[in-house]
Amino acid sequence: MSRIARVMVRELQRLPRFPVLWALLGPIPLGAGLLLTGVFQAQVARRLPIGILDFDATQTARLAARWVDAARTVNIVARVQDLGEAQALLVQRKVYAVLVIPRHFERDLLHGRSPRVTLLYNEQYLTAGNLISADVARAVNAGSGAVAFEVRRSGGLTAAAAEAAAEPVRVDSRLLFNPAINYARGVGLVLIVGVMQVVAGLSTIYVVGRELRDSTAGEWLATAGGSPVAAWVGKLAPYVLYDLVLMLVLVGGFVAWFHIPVLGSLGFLLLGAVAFSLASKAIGVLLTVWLANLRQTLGVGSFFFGPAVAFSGVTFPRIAMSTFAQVWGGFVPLTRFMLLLRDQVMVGAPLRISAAPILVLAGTALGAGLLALPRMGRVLRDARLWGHE
Amino acid sequence: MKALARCFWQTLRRIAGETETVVLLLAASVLYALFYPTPYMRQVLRDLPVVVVDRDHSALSRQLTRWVDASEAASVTARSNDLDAAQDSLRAGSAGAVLLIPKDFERHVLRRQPAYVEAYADASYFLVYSTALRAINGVVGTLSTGIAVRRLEASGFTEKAALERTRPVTFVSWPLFNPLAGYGTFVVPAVFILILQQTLLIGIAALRVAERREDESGSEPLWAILGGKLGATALIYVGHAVFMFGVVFSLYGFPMRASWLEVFIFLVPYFAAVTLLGLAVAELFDRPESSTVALAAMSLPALFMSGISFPVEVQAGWVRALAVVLPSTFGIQGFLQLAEMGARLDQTLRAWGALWIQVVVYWTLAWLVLRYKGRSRQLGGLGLAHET
Repeated sequence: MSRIARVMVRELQRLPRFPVLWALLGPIPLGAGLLLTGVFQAQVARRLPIGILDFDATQTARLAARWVDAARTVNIVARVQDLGEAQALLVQRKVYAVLVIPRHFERDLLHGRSPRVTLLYNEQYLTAGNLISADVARAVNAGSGAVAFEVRRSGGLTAAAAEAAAEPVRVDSRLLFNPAINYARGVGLVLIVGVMQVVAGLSTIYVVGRELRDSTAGEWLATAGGSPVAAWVGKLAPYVLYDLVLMLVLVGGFVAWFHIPVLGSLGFLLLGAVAFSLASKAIGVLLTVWLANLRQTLGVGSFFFGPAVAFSGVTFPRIAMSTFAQVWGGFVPLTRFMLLLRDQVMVGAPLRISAAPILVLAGTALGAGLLALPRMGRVLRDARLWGHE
Repeated sequence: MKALARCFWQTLRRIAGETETVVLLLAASVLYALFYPTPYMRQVLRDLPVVVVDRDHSALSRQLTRWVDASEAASVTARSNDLDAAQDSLRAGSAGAVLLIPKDFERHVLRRQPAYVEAYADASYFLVYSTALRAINGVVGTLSTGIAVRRLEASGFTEKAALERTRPVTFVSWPLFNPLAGYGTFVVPAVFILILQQTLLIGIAALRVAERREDESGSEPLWAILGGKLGATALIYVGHAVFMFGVVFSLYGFPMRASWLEVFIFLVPYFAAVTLLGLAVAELFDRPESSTVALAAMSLPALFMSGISFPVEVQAGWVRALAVVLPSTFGIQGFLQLAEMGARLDQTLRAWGALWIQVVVYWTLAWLVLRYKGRSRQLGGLGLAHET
């Protein structure tokens, strides 16, 4: 049996002794994946509760309310009597928005005095707030445009002329890459991969760190026949393989469950997944060999891998971030891998575009590996680095 | 009461005596609080790169391009004749939107025929598409209204009358609580509440491990042990709250709309529920690092189960049922109401009450767990049970 294979076998035999590692590799990511699937099960936000404050209470005002209720994002669940009640419902988050129809709405509309319809919306819940305000704006403006059109038609214009007079210039807008504003694609995916990165990084820290803390690193090296290369390759290879399997289950499962079409190249995604796993592992190894203290390394590792989603640029674009956050996020493997997922899953971008993130991931793995290298041999031999909590 | 005071001081001494607990319960929250908001310091997306494909080359198309460029949210970074090339920059992510001004755009407007522009936005990033479309819709809307008004003025209407005729209904949308739509204001307060929960859960697990190793004297009554721990963690975490929502919030410019008294009244059951939950589950972890590993991966689901991002109303029923177990679900909802949305304390009653129910449930659970552990330890001393 080759030395590398012997280290692999030893690794598999060690596994049952570490319930925490078991949990981290299996139930935790699967549980997290299930929860996130449940969170995003609706995929798009529809029929969010809003209220209506109708000071006019006329036939026309009710018509305007119907324009809004027809918007898919909202559902009128409450009719309130005054602004105090509206405010109370909003701060108790029973509604995300309140539509206010002013007194004399009908009269002003008929006299062409352009009554003002106001939407008060909760922008603390920014996702819901933005979706609702955009959709209600669309609905009211469409309704208003229909009125303008009718006014002009009754003034004797042809349909085309009336349309042009009512709205001389229109925007025909098209959403590319995720046209339905599907949250499972737009947000869910990065969370799944974020969990994946925590698992890939922390499991590495744990399996290497345990060797040092339990002072079994000598035995590990001995199994490798004294070859540090065999020791490290045999140690990490099974986990790289496992990362790929887990990614297939978690990310692949998420993509399949939500029927997210993969527009790009599966080969590139696989290549990227390998580079992503290696980069996360290299960073884990880098931290572990230099700190040589399991608990400290896990703490620092959680600090690096835990908040990575915030720095990845998926939810908040990197061009809007502070310089510090841009630089920090540049070192996070998740940032590059999400770029690859966007390009190869949602966009179907040409491969030359996706070469960059894969190369950067490979570079991250190489860079972190090189920085770790001076200590990777020493931690296997130097007993002074062992036994630290 | 004396027993309670003894347990309180004993807990504080233990926390101070271990590097592990000092790091987790004191230092971690401070570090995370300073680090986590750094991506969001600028709060909003400005000068999003937009490519204009101008096939009209008219005065009007150039005016429209200038207006888009002048808007705060967008910035015209390239002009091109080639729609495919422009869309390539969308695919590559180097532009957020493409604005196509078709041939004969100005001519259609002058002839009073319907005129269109086309906007293509990158919806793989939600903030990109929404920012781009808001900017383009705003600019085109202004242009369109201006044209309609001028036409009416030319046929004898006053400006006011022309404006009213152009927009039969005026729509005004009024963002509440976070008027600039700041992304940091949206996400950071919720994450801070989550950070407090996660560090406290891990810290309590570490504390229990240390205590089990020292095999504390079982002479104190259980209620005093629990009460002493609650007092100690409440004291430390009220300190964290002051640092996060006082110091860090003003450092990064996040709004804080509640009085400190209200914040403390709201957060006390939150800290108590988390501490008791921590005590109840700490026995699952034989080593302090185990809880770190377990909780690091669960932070993301916990945050999203609170519904700050994807609304709870559209989440799966079973997820909402599970979310009830987590103090963060109610802690985040209630704190946002109180500190960000300016609710009165009584308006947060649902979240606050839910936290108190958790306190009662987790107190019972922690009490049972500690009593069982105490018993098995005594029996273990007699050689009747095995302790790990």
